[in-house]
Amino acid sequence: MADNFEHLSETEFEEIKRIFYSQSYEIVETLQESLIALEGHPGDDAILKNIKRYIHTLKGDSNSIGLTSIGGLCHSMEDVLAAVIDSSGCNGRDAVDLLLECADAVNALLSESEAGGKGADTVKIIGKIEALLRHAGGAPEGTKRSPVQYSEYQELQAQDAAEKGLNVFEVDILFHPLCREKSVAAFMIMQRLNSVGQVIRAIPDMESDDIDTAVQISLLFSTGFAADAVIRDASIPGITAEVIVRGYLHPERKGPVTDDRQEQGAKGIINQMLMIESSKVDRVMNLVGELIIGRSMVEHIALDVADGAGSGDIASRLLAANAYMERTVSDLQKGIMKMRMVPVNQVFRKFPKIVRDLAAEEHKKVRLVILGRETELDKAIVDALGEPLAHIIRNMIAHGIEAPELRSAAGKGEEGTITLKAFHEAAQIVIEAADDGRGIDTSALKLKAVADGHLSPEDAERLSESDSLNLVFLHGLSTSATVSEISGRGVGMAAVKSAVEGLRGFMEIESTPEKGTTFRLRLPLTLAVIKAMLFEVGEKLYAIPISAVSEVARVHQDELVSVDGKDTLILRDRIISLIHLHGLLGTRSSEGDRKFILILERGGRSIGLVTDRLLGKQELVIKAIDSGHARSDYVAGASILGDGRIVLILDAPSIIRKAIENEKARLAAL
Amino acid sequence: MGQSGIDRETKEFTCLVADDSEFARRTLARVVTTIGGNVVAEASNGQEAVDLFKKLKPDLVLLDVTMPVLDGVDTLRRILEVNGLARVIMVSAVGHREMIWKAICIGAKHYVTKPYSPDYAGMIIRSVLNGGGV
Repeated sequence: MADNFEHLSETEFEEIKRIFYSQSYEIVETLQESLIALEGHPGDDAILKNIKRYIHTLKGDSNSIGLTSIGGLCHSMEDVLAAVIDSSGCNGRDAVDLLLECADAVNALLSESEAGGKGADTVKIIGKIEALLRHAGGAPEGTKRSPVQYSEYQELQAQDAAEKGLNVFEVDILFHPLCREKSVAAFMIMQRLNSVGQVIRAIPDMESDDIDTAVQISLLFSTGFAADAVIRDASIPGITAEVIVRGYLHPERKGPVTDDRQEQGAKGIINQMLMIESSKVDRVMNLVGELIIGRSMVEHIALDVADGAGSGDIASRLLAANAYMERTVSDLQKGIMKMRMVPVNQVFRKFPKIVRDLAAEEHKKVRLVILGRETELDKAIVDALGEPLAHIIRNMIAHGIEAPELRSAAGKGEEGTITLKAFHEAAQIVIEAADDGRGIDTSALKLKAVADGHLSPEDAERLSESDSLNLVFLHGLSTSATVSEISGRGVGMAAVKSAVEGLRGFMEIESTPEKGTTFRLRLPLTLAVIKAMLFEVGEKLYAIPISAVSEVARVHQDELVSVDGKDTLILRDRIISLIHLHGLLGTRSSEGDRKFILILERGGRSIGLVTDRLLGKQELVIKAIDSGHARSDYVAGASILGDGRIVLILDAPSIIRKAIENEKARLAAL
Repeated sequence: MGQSGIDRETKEFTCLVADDSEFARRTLARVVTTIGGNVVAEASNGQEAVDLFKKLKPDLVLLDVTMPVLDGVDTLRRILEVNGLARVIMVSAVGHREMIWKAICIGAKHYVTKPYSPDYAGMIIRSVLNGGGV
């Protein structure tokens, strides 16, 4: 296809193409996102600079692989962007609209050519670009200077120092791989540097907890000393591994700028292939180094034993070596886990465009607020979240947010707000999508559920508010109060729920009439490992994710009360119905009269799982099991313990669901 | 910084090891002897360490953060009252950040967290003897 690749074999060229497409789709997506961000922050230097870079990369890559139609289009896009940057009279909003249109066109060209097509005609869109530019008075040449990376105040401090004849350096200090308690280490470095100059900015912030996991600190530093003196002063054996000093106010400043400073505009993270921050790889490398140290500790002990020397403290030395290895292996596991962790922004960033397009389609005004983009979770979860979240947001725009006139009439602002938020809570990631729309009409929901035969009128009456809301997730039930609007919504929400549960997560829903609706997705940090509570029932060993257990109660058999023929436990005035595993899995319970009850909580309901013995908490690596082995809905997987025993990991949601069904069946029978 | 300037790597130095665990003292002593030091005394609590420091004036003190009678930080304070230029390295299990911090603020030169590799600890000791640390 392209001359540059003539020397490559067919397969090599295929591989290059694959990378090109994967990367280009990603860039287009990032570009769209930045363009939308630009609408919110017109003239923002950082965003403009990113956009320029994206278009430039697209142009270069497309041309070199032979897709000159895309290259040409990108070239025209650069002209438009230059006009925007120069603000030479052209309407910024029109330009952004046009650039978005171009991005869509690039996307279409990419998929056509990937599918082997000839490539669509770009004449029309390039014509549009030319028209816009003519209107603006021609495409100017040249661009602005690179944007400010530090805050205005920090720049001011730097300039001030320079005016006083001081050097201003950017200093990267890499920690020694064996350095622990890095906040103290950083403090020591600061103490030394503060005696020879002034730290204008430190990343990470010296006060933050991030410092403990940091691989390096980056400083903006003013001093009367030269670079080599700074290097000498910042280097502390055992604490620093390397100190890199760059002149900052030097006109031709070089060297990569650390990511932390690029707050505006997202950085491109390629989707198909897992791109890992090099700091994470470095960390794992360091830990492997420590493992080697651990191995040599053991080796020394072994040699001593072989020599018949030092027999007295062998046990304690072995224990120490073991403790060392244990910590390193667990850090290593965490480090590798971290590699799988990606910022949730990888899905969140798709939504500004979705919201923008859908709101326009529905003739509504919607503002999207995104919080906690940097929250990290397992890539597998991030990848699987896109669809469910898109469903929820689509519904919010279609049904939750009212039309502008209705909102005004209700005394709300014309513009509705959808808030997407990700944060850590306990050992979970919570993703919340909230609208400030009309809320869900539970009475309409109940009527519909009864009409569709899901519920008897009596049951419907007995349903609590939260249970009524959960009807949203019933298969085939449309939750729209005005059912005519969009069909298939109920199916969508049921799919959302099962997708979230497939990720070992839970869904919660809250809704207040006229105030809005919140969907909350509670997800595990990772799919590969869980923190679980181990327990025994009879002879068998089980585990349940610790996130599902809200409390553990130790009881005597005679403390259990039978209510309506069902075992219940009264715990601080709460009546908790109990479920026995032997009822679900056919396990025999032992005869002992002391029992441990694991209180599982979900959606405001608690049930107690009766167990014989608790074995404590442990991190388990989940192995999938084939359905033939333990064919039960209540088993989510299995794991092998250090001593070789197999433990079945129970699926908390289905156990709770079963308990609630039992409850209903029992109530119906009465 | 920079008190001595002499490369002590090959020179013998005297060292006081203070830790309430005998095992910890033995491992520290081994590190010290490996790099050519001479452990002149071992203390199993803070008070003992202060007394021995007064008596022996060692070149270096390896001081555990958590010790009975007098904890590491108080011990350090007393030692520095005796000699403000004393070279003290704090030794601590991971997790005593506040204590190490305090010690560094008061005047400890450096710190080592347990478990440590002998090479790493040796490097820190040498650097402190050569005027490194804070």
